[in-house]
Amino acid sequence: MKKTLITLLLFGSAVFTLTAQSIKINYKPGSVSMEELEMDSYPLDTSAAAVLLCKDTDVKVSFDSQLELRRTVTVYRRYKVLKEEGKDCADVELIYSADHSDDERIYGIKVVTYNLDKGKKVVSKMPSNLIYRDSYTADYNQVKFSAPDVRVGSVIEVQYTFTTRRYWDVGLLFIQGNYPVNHGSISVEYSEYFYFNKLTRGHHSFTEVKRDTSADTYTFRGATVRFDLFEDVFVADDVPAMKDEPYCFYPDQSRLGVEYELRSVQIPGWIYKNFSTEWSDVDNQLVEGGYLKEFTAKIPLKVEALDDEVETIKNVRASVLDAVKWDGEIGRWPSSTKAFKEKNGSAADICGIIASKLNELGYTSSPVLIKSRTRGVLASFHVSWDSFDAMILQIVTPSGKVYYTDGVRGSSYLNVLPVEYLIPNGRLLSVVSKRGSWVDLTKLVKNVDTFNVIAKLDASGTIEGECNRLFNNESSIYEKRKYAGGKDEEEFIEGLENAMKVDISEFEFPEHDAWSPRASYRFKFSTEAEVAGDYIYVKPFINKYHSERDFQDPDRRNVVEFPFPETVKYSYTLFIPSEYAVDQLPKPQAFVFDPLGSKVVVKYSMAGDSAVSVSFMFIANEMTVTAADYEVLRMYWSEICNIYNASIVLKKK
Amino acid sequence: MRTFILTLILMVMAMVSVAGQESADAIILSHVEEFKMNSRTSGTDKVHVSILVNNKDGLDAATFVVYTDYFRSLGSFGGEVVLQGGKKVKLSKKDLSFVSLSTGLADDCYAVGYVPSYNYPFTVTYDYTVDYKNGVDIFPVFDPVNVANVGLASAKYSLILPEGMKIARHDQYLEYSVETVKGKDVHTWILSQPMKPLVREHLMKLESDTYPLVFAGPLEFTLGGIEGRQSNWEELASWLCAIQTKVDDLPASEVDKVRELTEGADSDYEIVSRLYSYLREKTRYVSISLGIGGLRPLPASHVAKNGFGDCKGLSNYLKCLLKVAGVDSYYYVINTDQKKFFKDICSVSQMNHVMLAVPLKENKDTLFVECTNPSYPLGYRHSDCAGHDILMLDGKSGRKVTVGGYPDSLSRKIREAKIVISADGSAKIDIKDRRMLDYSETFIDFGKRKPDSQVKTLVRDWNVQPEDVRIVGVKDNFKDYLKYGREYVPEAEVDFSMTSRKYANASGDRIFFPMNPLAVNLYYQRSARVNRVYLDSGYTLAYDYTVVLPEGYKVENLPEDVTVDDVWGTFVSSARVDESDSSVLHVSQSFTAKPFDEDKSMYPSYREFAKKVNKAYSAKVVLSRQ
Repeated sequence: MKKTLITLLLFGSAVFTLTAQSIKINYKPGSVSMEELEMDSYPLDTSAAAVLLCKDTDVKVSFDSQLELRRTVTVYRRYKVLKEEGKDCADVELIYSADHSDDERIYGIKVVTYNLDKGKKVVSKMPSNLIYRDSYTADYNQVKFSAPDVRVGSVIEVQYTFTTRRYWDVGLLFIQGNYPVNHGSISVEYSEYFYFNKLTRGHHSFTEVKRDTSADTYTFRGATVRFDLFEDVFVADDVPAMKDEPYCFYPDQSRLGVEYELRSVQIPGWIYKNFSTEWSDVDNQLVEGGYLKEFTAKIPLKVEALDDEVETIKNVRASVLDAVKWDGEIGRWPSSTKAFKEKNGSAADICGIIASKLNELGYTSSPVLIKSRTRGVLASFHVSWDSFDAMILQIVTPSGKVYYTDGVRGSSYLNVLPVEYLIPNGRLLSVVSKRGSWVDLTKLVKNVDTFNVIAKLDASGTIEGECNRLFNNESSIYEKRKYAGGKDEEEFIEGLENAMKVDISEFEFPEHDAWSPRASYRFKFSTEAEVAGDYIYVKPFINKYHSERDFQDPDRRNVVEFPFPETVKYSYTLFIPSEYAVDQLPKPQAFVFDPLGSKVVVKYSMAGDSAVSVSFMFIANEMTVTAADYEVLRMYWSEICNIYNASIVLKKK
Repeated sequence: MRTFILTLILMVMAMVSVAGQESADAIILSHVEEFKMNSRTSGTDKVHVSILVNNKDGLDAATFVVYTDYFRSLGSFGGEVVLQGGKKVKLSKKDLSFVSLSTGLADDCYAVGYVPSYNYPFTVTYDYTVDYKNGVDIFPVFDPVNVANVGLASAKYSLILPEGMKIARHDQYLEYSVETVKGKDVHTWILSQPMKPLVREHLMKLESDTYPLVFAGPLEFTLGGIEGRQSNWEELASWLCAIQTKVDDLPASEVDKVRELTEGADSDYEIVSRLYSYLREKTRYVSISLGIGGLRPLPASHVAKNGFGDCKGLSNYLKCLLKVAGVDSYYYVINTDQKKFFKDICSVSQMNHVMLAVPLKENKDTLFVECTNPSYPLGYRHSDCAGHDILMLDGKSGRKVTVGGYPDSLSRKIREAKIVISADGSAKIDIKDRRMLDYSETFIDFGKRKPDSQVKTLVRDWNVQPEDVRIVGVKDNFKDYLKYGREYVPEAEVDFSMTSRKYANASGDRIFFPMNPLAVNLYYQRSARVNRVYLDSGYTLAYDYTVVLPEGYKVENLPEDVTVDDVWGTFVSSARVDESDSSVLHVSQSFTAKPFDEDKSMYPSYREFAKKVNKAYSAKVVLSRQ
């Protein structure tokens, strides 16, 4: 094919910085230098077990010789092994579709290892009989290979090409990964007939983003057609390795890469295919595809409306779950009738059945499509049904009250959703208007954790008391799950004893399996204060809500994501022995941290001569803190943790 | 209708027989298995199993899985799920899915499976056959229940073998009988009474010793086309040697390399040491295990050319290297999970690993060499090897021997620290950690690890939050075998420093800090003990801290001394103000765990012991402003 360079464009959103890879290399396969072989650490990350000297990914969406549209991905990797753990990069396992209609293949596998032996470059090529191809499952095949003669110090080149008929599915292409990258590039080539939405992402920046334009031709019905060919190129140098960060639902959100979403294909006289461009298009496609019919299906299950609207919803849900087992899958598109017949279905199937029954009873129950927090933020450019990975229900009662439910989980409730569903933009598709709109699911309810302790200290230092703890809404989910997930109640109590460092008796957790917005338990406890001479030292916080382990790393790349906004209230009343008096009370403290909409207040006071009282409150009204505010968040956290170490000192009268 | 009544009767019978197992996650109502030997190299295993699943934790027991490879494939499959209310769902092969189990570069292992998903409780029944081909050295292992909290109501296993065929067997918790019927020997094992579910707890013996099991095999067999006998370990060793044909084909370039590397070496140990280093530099663990390759090593030429192999290939490769250098060595097979072989059956199916034994005549010792991780110190018998039975091959036959173990007294961790506390509660801490024997394993290749991995190794599960951890120095004796010979014990020492913003808590005129926040609390369970309380081997953890107090503060309270000595171990704790400097405090604690095997009724005593130790770790030192 004839290719002429016409223009060089920079993308409008591109970030261009003048940096270059710290190790200069010739990118051409086979051009491994002595310097690359001699290097024994990567200066920008001396802890790295391996570094990707070069990581190139070239994607081409084009016609094959049969004029079939295909996507072809050519991969070139050049690794430098720096530590024993880095030898893992020599083992490659690729999984691809076994579906004939996808016609996926991996070919052109070439692996070469370079070593230094007495100052000379020794080249070891992987023989083809070390490439193993096999079935992985019924739906997928696998190909595996390992580079030969790999040692600490080796440079390994890996090349292969993957091709598929799934031309539209360019998806996410990352430069950043588990190893640091000295030089990385992604190129995506496609003709003028393809219209893509594109989004770059990452905490680190691309050093160069450009578009090359050339010309090409194809022959169609005897005529030669000339068309423009675009090649988007994204280059990044000195990209650090990814690292795990706590309080992060989707680490890839900050991973350097680019996402392609096909908007339309328009080849004159041949193919005109529009993918979604507006969310209303997605809505319309769903409606036209019969999606909403699954929420108004005729299900042969007898359920009656009760006087109370909430009780009616509970009754419908319970009846449906009695009849159909949740198989643990999530799903988006229900098969309500089929699932009911098979007595087994996904969360979507069960939601479909619940909605169908409620709609039959005069309620209005519609699906809300969700991109879970564990899959990242819903990008406005990514206008597609594929953006969503889950579905819940909105229920509007005859009296006009609005509730949301995931339908299946025992620990959730009306408006109390699994934390991964607490997103600002769920897509509601009304069964009445057949139109879509956005709903905010982040603050449907107020979440409160209340813990009251009343205790009595005797002169020997023994503290005995009673605790009552009440969790409301989202706060209740975690406790219910923990209780249900344990071997038995003893295991749950053991966890409390270890965390609180007390001995527990007469424990009660009523209605732990009830579908309700609450969880509450109570127990009696005993523990020992420190007794020394005339003094007794008492730690009033038997429960701690924050830990310094939460944010150990001084640096942060991702937004800090908290599960949900929450208010914590802790009160502790201690009756002290008559022969003792308070010698020292900790000072009251209060701190504020605006980015989290948060404040913490702790007060200590005497209740007459015989009792000491502690009151603690923590409020966080927001769910996220940016990386820029992370340092202050750490300090704030540290101050809160310090509160828990406070001691009350009593002295013999 | 007859079928329905029969099912109902069986269900009722099962319920009666499993009375008392109401809390079980699942109950195996019936497991009936029959293996028929069709020829010397083939057989058919026919299985009927019925499981009552009470809750989601019981699903493991009810999940259908058959592992297939070069020697086994799934024949027929059918089944049925009976739901609450009696509705039945039929199962057939189309309900099964398969997934590759390959963890290495290549093997032929797949799992064929099915996971039932219905509202609890339900009963699932499977009827299937597994075809054995290409040889039978071990009959299907019969372990009808092997997960915790699952009951077993009835179980029967039959082997239908040619008349007169001799077998060896290891069985537990099952009654055995044999009879000859129509020219076939029928060996039968029956569960005489229902088994209660196993409760999983800490400090207990190997779970596998507590389940019913039949592990049997023919004394004569053919596997991968090679005939063998296994009436004793020597015969089995002969077969293992016989399948190792053409695996010692070291290329000429490697022979030259060995000569170059060993030139001037003045002892066998020196040769082993040099070639072990070469193995470390040149090779890595990658498994290729196709067909009989699960038992036969890859040729040395393959490892030489590609630089990788599995335990068999790497051990064989080092053996070949040593042979060129004139040092004899012995390839051996071992079970790294279980110390002792079954006494009543010799079978390679008991093994899961291969290593190399190298006798050193001049040192009157034998090195037991781990070839999949050539960073292990030479002379150290690692924790998956010391005290284990092994089958050592000499090229033509072999013998069973036991690798020497170590006394518990050598298993020690010693931590010394200097802790300088500031008036705001922060502290600067310098620590010296010495670890001996198995504890030193975590320091093998320590210097080559990533910094975050090093830090995690050092400060795991502490009760204080470490910050700014810096490794100051690492010393070990991993290459000092020659200094000690047979008495060699690996030992590593790491010096590191760190800070902690909250080591102590400053409150008003006082400062509080725990005696030993750098120790890990002993675990104890709250619930009533079900199993015996068991610890296989003892160990010692010793702590010696020098604490420098902030200026202007004096000790207001020191925790009392503690001394405990009972069946579980000994514990000693003390804190003293330095006699010559009142701003310095010395904290000393030492915990020695003893091996034990006690009745469950003793568990409250263990709990009290653990509480005393934990309390001493967290006991507060109180300082007051002068």
